[in-house]
Amino acid sequence: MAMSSGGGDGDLNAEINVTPLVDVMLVLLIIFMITAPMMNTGVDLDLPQVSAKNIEDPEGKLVLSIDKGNRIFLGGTQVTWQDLKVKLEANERVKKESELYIEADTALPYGVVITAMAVAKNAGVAKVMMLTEAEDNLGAKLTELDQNKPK
Amino acid sequence: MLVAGHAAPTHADDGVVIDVNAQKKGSYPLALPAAPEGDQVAREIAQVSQFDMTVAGPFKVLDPASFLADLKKEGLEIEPQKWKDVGALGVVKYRVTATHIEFRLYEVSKGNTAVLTKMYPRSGTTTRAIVHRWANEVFKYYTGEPGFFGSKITFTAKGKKSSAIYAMDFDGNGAYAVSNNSSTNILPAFSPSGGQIAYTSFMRNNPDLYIGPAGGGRPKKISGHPGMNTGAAWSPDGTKIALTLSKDGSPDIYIINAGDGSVIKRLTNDKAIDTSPAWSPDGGSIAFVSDRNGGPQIFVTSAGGGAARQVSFNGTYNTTPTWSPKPGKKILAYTTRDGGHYDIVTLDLDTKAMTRITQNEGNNEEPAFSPNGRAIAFARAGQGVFIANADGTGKAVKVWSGSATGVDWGPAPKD
Repeated sequence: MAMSSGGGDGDLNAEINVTPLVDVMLVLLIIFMITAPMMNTGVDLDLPQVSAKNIEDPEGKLVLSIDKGNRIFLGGTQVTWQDLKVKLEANERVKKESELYIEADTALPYGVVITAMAVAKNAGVAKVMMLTEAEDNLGAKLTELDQNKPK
Repeated sequence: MLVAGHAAPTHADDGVVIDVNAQKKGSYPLALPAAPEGDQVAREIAQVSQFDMTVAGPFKVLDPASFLADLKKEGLEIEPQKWKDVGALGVVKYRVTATHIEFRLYEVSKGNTAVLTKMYPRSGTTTRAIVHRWANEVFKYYTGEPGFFGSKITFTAKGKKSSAIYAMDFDGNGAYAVSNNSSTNILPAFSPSGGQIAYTSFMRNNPDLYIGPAGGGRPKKISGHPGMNTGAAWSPDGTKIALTLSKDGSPDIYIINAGDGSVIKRLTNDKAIDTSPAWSPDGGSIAFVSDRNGGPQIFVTSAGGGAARQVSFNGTYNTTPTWSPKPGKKILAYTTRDGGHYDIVTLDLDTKAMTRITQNEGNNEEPAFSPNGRAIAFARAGQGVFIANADGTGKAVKVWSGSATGVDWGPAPKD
């Protein structure tokens, strides 16, 4: 997968370059998108509204939540981004299940979510479930995006 | 880049009763207290309980770095989901007061209700001893068997010109000299009650057998025949000792009275070297080493006398047998030479199944089973005393550093 990384005009770019991360993850990380209306980790989030596969038993899964303030919660417990890798690496449940459910606020920049996925990948997570909220009017949403007017 | 696919949801096995006996080592995930900085008692509780449960066999001690629970807020209780999220099935909690230490064990699937609670008075004992007692309770809760935490190990510590008998806690804590002379002292053996240690000393130039208090102090000479009086093994009832005597020529196995040293019976009588006796836990059999068929091999004979049969057939060099105390089992551990190295193996006399305890890590000799048969202590040449799982899983843990030999493990601790 090749992505243009922008022109070489010498501008300093302080943002995370997610291109290599995306490349690595597409190869090595299994990603699923899942609609989970009843997931409740106590973290206040607006999830992206996209219909996806429903999981039968969302309760009790290990969930990583990211709210719009970039704050990160593992199993509902706030952790720092610095600690996240250690918390995941040392986690026996992650070692056993090799999967992690991620719910990220719909307003978050793409790079933040990808960074969380990269950390999870480094910590040994092989399968990531991206949680969404049910949405039955995809057509309207696509029209809205085409008109470049996100709500 | 997000691909909506067909996720096959896996159901966590939360709430299922786990039979730890049916599982391999490291299978029952247990969360133990973490060590906060600064607090001496808390640090000791964390260290001792983590060591005990790690070497116990059936548990996987979880890394405290993964914990998500607010330990201060939880106190003696648990928020089950926080522990489920780090993969714990069992959680240990405690509280220290001026007079007591209270421990609680939770099974995460059973929620915030302790399945085991114990209060230990702190006076007249140590934090370390209390944690060992608690570890025995936890071990018994899951396995139905007694633990070996708080038991003792004795061994020969080799110096440059002499060697001394040492004893220590099974985890290497509090090592002290049992013998008190500048001569050579070897092959210690705990009495079944743990109160005495028999050992061979050259303090009067001949290798005589002595029995002394396990805590140290003046020993009593019990067998002083010309030549060898070595390799003492107590009968399970503590009244008799099997040993090697060479008073009649070639070394043979004898049984003597543990009280006065008088010979009760000569068990072997041949021109070969017979040595290193070990008494079976039911008292009926004695294993020993003989080179009657060539190289040294393990033989078993009735403690009442009679013909001996060879039981070890692997390789050309097998020595220092010891019996597993597991009831109903006939399992020996011994030292075998394999490709120029010495290693510990176990042999089930009924099924003929052999299990390797050590491999590719130095020379390992003179095994001794823990009182519940779950672990084996042994000496690694030039390195020290180690303990390992008796089922061959996991990695051996060093409990004493130095030049050691002649390891024996004492009886189960009294609670």
